[in-house]
Amino acid sequence: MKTITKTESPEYIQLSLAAAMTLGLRPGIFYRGAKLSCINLLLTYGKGCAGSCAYCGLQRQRSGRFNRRSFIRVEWPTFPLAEIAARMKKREARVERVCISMVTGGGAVEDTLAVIRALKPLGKPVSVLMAPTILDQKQVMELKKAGAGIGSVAIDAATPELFRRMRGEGVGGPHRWNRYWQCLGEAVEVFGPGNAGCHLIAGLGETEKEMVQTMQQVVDMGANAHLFSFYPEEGSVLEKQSPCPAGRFRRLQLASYLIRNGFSTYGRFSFGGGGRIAGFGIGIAEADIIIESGVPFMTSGCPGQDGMAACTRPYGDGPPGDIRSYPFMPNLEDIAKIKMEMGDK
Amino acid sequence: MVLITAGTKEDCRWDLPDDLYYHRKDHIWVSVEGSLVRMGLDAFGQWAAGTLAQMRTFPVGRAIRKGHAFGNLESGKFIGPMRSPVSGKIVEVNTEVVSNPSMVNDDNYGNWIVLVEPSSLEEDLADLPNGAAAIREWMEAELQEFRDKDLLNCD
Repeated sequence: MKTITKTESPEYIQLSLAAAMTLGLRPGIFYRGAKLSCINLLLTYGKGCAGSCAYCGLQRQRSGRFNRRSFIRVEWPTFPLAEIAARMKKREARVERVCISMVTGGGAVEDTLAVIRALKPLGKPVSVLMAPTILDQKQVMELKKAGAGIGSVAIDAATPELFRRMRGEGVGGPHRWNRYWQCLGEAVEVFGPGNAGCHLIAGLGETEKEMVQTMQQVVDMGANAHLFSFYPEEGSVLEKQSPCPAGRFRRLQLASYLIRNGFSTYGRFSFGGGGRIAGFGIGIAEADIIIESGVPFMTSGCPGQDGMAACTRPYGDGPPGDIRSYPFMPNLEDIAKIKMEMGDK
Repeated sequence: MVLITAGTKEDCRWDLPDDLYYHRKDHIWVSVEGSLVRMGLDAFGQWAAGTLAQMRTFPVGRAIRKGHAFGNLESGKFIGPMRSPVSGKIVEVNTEVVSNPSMVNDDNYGNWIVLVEPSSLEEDLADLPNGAAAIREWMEAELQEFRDKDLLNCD
């Protein structure tokens, strides 16, 4: 029988600092007036997550109680689910989507279903960031049946070897590359093309070429690739590793946008030494227009009512002083900076 | 003391002592103490910034100018300069607070940031809100601006 402590899911749940600010559960105003309209929730258990991912703040070896550990560099406060639901109702106009992140362990599948059902009366679209290690296709279907509209998988590492080193046997972790890709396929099958997502983290040690190839593979499967910039998490195995260089991330953001929107494909890209992108497979004039639009450098995430990312994750993959994914349309000054970063050595 | 509130939430209530002067936009308070002034972050400023993670100031001896930065602060979701309400020279930095900036979130008036020897105090103070009526008028306008931009997460 499962032991339930006072603050475990599904009765309690963690939410991102940004979501807590959006719901008025934490004070603060986002730098440059950024907005978030997706409430990001994270299942919480006394035992924590069974994963040992080298870059993650929730890895089980890290000291401190699970719900007191930082995740993506900030606090994820814990609240009763009922209180969060009440806040969401009160701020209905501001909330366009909910995303529930599973963790590996506990009764995460049943609890995710319970959370989806509890939030159903709010009528907001629901995404689930699934935990493939503890999930089978039947359960993916149950998530959909319960009300989830988008299913995502955080593959994170772009190559099998990196995955093994960062998430699998290399760190004594339970995750397996093949199962993650299989689960992404199941998500496409169950939720439909365009309603499955795949998180990838740039800067874990892959080359740009490897990441472009992986993003293409994701898109070819019918899923959306959502790119994150690696930023070291204090207390994680990779806490001393440098963040993904800005130039590399900018080139990959552009590559992701081009592939996602059919402007180019992996086969048309050219690569230089060390796998660095040398050409994006489109004309210079066309590339300029797309870069100047600023859109490729905005956060890529599940959509809101207007089709743009509701999941803007303000300053989620870099501090506000070193913006990686722009939670708003970059202005002219930002674009000048982005162009400079793209041309780094 | 002036109590400014927005909505009914407990944490959307900010105390602003009426004997202090304030930078209108960066929410830096100024306390005149003899020939020196002490400066810190006001209650609304620390609320808006969120839990502070980093703070940097110019060193002791550095001349600072009214309206220009004497340092900057950063939280998980915010970064910004701290612009000085007065001109002068920094004579002391509260290094304990700079090293542990979340102390400001715990006690924003007790945990001051810099001590300054002002160079044109009377002139610099002239346009800063001070006294209950001026502080209330300034803060009401400030809150309205935040509301207009849909930035105030208070019910």
